[in-house]
Amino acid sequence: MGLLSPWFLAGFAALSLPVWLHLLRRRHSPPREFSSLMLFERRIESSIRRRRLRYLSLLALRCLLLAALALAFARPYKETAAVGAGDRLVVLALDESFSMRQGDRMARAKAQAMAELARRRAGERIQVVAFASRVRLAAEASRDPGQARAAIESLEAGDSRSSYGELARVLRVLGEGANGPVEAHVFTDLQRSSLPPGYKDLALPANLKLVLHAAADGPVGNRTVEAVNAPPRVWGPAPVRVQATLAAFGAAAAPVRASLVIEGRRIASQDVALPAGGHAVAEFTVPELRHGANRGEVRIESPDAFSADDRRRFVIERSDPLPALFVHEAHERRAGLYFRTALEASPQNAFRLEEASVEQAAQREPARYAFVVLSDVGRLPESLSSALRAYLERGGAVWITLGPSAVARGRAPLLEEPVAANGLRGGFQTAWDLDAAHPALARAGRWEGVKFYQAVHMDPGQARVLARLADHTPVLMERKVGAGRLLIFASTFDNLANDFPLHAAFVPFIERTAAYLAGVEQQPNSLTVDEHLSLTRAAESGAAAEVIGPDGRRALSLAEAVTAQSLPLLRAGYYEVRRGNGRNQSLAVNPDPRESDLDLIPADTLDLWRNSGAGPEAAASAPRQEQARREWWRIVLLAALALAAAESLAANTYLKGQSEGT
Amino acid sequence: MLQRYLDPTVLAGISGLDLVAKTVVEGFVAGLHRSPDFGFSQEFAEYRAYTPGDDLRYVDWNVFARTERCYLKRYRGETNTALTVLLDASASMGFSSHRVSKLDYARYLAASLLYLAGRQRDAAGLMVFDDQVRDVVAPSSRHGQLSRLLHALERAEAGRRTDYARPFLHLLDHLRRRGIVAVISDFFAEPEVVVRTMAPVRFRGSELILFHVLDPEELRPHFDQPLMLVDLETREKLEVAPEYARVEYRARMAAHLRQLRELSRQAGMDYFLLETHRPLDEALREYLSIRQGRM
Repeated sequence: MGLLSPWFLAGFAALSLPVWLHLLRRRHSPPREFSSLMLFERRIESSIRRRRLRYLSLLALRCLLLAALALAFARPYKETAAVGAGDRLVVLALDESFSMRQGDRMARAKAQAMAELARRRAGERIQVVAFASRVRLAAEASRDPGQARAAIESLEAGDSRSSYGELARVLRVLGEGANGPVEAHVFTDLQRSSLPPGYKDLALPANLKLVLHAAADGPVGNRTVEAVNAPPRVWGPAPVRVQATLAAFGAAAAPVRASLVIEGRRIASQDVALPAGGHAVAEFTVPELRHGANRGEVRIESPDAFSADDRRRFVIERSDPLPALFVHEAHERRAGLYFRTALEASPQNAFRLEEASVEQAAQREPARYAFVVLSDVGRLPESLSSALRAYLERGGAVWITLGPSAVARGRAPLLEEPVAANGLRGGFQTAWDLDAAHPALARAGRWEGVKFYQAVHMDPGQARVLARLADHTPVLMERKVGAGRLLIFASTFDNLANDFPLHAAFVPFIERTAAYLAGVEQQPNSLTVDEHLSLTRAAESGAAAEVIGPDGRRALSLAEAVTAQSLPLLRAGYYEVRRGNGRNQSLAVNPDPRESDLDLIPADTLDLWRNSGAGPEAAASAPRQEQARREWWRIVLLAALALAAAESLAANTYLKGQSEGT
Repeated sequence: MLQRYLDPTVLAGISGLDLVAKTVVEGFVAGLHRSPDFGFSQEFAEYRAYTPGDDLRYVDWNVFARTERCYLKRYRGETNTALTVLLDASASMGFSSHRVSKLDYARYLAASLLYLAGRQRDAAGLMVFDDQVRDVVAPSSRHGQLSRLLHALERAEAGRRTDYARPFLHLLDHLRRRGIVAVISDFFAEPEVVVRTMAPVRFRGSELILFHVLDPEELRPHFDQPLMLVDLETREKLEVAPEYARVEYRARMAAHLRQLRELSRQAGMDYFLLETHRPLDEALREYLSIRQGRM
C-alpha cells in the first residue's frame, strides 16, 4: 500500500470533530431521583443499548466518512510488492542470432539459462523466448520447469540478425500485460551492432527487472566478406566481373586470401591486404558462365575466430536474349531504327529485336516474344488482333504507339478505340507530369528538353496515365488486360512527332520499359536474411509459387504457395523460386554483415539499459501503481458516498427518535 | 383573585397549615354559593315537606317561623361522623418536579379536609405512615383537635418505602365507629394489592376515599436523553430512554390509573386523582361536587 498524496492524511484530524461532538459535548446527566420505577421495565435497558449503539454507530459512520474522504484525497494505491512469488513472471530470452554461432556462445547461453532455471523457486511462472530480428515464443509461461528446459535445449543459433530493440519491445508488451513483476533474463553475446539507433527503443517497463547474461567473454576480431557486387543476370557469353568487399571488424591488419567459387569450383583467388578495422576490395572475372542460374560465393581462405561469415553467396543467371517483336507499317522504318538502337545501347541488352510489317507479323506467334511493339500501325489483320488479345490475356505485353496511321484510321489498333489528332498549341509541348514510381520511368529522368510536336488524343478511360504533356494530354498510359500489360504511347519513336529519340533519356526509357514489359526487371538475386521475398505477382494471378529452401525442402505449404504475398527469408543459403508464370529464379541469401561485427556493448550502455525503466529496486511497481491508484481512490470515494448515505439515514433515524422523545 | 392564592406554589409560601387549610376551604366554600353545611357530615341530608304522621320532633321550626311552611329535617346518621386521614409519607411522596412536592400537596389536602371536618364539628383523626405507622392522632371533635392534627401534619416527612398493610391493620384495630377514611397517597403499588388491603375498612361500614396525588412529571415524564433514574424508595437504578418514557411509560401509567380507578369503584371506594400543579381548592370543589351529585 502507498499514498500518492499523503499530506491529505492531515484530513484525519477532522475526525476529532465528530468525536468532540459526540463524546465530549455529550451531556452527561447525573442520575435523577424518581418516585418509583414500578412502571419502568428492565427490558428498556436493551433499547437504551440499542440507542447507544445507534449513537456510536452514527459516530463511527461520521468518522469513517471523514476518514474515507481523507484517504480518497490521499490517493492510495496498492503496492505490487505484495504480489507473491507465484505471480512473478520469469522470462528467459536466448539470443539465437547469427553471431551466436561464433565459438561456444550458444552453448554457453543455454547452459546459463539452464542454471538460471535451476535457481528459480518452485511455482514461478517461466516463459522462454528466442530472439534475433524478431522474438518468438519457445515455451509458454508455465510453472513446469521441464517445459522451459525442453525449450532451451531445442534452441539453436540461426542466421538472423539480433535486435535488442525488438527484444525490448516484446519485453515491454510482456511487462505491461503481466499482473505482477517480470524478471527478464537475457542470454546473449551483447553485440553492439544489435543496439537500436536510440535508447528510447530499449526502454523497459518499470515492473520488469532486466538481468543480462553475457555469452561472450569480450570483443572478438573478425574478418568477413561484407558484400559481393555481381550482375544478377547476364544475357550472353561475355565475361562477368564480380567485385567483393572484405571487411575487418576489430581484427588486426593482415593479408587475406579471397577466392571466387562458382558452382563449387574455385574460379580464382586473390590476396588482399585488409587493414585493421577497414575494408578492401577483391575483383574477379568470370570468363563464361553456363546457361541458367550460377551459384557462386566469395570466400576468405584465411581462418579467423568466426568462420561462419567467411563467405558470401551470390547467384548470376545467364540467359539468351529474349525475342521481342517490333511491328510497323511496311513503309515506315525510322521508328524501328531508333528503338533497336536504344535497346542495343544498354550494356546488358536482354532482348533480340525482330522487326516485322503488319502482314509479316500476322504470320508470327506472339507468345514467342517477351513483348510486342505495335509502332503506329493502322488496321491489324483479325488473326493478329485475336492472337495479340489472347497473348495479353495470358500475361503477355504489348506496347502501342499512336501516330498518323492510327489518326488516319480514327481508331487505335487492337483496342479499336477512337483516336484523334491533337493539334498542339505553340508548335510543341513538353512533358509535364511523369509517374516516376512506375518501373518504366524510374530511371528515365524528367524527359527534359523533349519536344512533342504531335500527339494523338485518346481517352485514357480506366488506364493509368504515366506521363502527360504540358497541356495535360496523356502521352503514356498503361492498361491491364487480363494478366498482361498494355502500354500506349500517344506519339511515335520516329523523330518526327517528337524529338525524344535524340535525347539521352530515350535509351533508359526504352530499356526500362522493355524490361518492364518482359518482366525481367533487374531484381537482385542476392538478399539478406530477414528480408522478405515478394510473391505478389504469383498471388495476384492465383498461381502457386513454389519456394525451395536451402535445406531442399518447400518453404511454403500448398495454401501459402497460392496466397502468400511474401516469404521471410530466415535462413542463409540458396533458394529456388518457381513462380506461377513459369519463370524460375535462384536466390542467394546471406546473413546481415552487421552480425559479423562482434564488438560488445559498453558497460555504461548496459547499465543504462538495465535502468531504462524505474530501476531494478523499483521494479514491479509503477504500472501497477498507476492502475491501483485509479482503482483505489475511486473505490474509497464510492465508499465515502455510501457512508454519507448511511450517515444520513442513521442521523435521520436517531434525530427522529430524539425529537419524538422531546 | 382568590384563585391566585390557591395555587399550590402560593400555598407553599404560606406558613402554617391552619392558614393554608382555612384559605383553601374558605375559598372553595365561598365559590360554591351553596349551603354552608355542605360537607362530609352524614347527619344532615335534606329537608322534606311534612306529611301527616311524621314525627313532629324533626320539624324545623325555624323554617316554619320564617316561611309558615312545615318541613322535616332529615338525618342519615345518628351521631356525628369521624374523618380519618391516612397520609402516605413514604419516600416517593417526597418527589417533586416543581416547588411543591407530593407530600406538601398531600399535607395541604389533608389539612383542608381536616379543617373542613372541624368546621362541621365532625371528629377528625390522622395517621401518617410509610411502611410503618409514623404518627397517629385519634379522631376527636374536641377543642384543639385541629391544632393537634395540623401539628402532626407538619411533622410528617418523607420516610421510607410504602406498605399499606401495616397502617391499615392498625386502622382496623382502632376504628371504633363508622366514618370516613381518606387515604392520600401516590399509590405506587399494584392496584389489586391496594384495594385488597383497604377493602376491610369498607366492610366495617366506613366510607373510603382514595386521593391519588401525583406529580405531573410522573404522569408525563419529559426526557431529552436517556436518564439514569433512581427509585426514591428502593434506590434502585434504571436507565430510561426518552422514547420509552414518552410512549410506554405513559401507557403503563394510564393503565395503572385506570385499573386503580376501576378496582376502587368496584370496591365501593371513591377515587380522585390530584396533580400537584393543580389549584387545590379547584380540585376539592370538583371532588365535592362529584360527591354531592352522587349522594
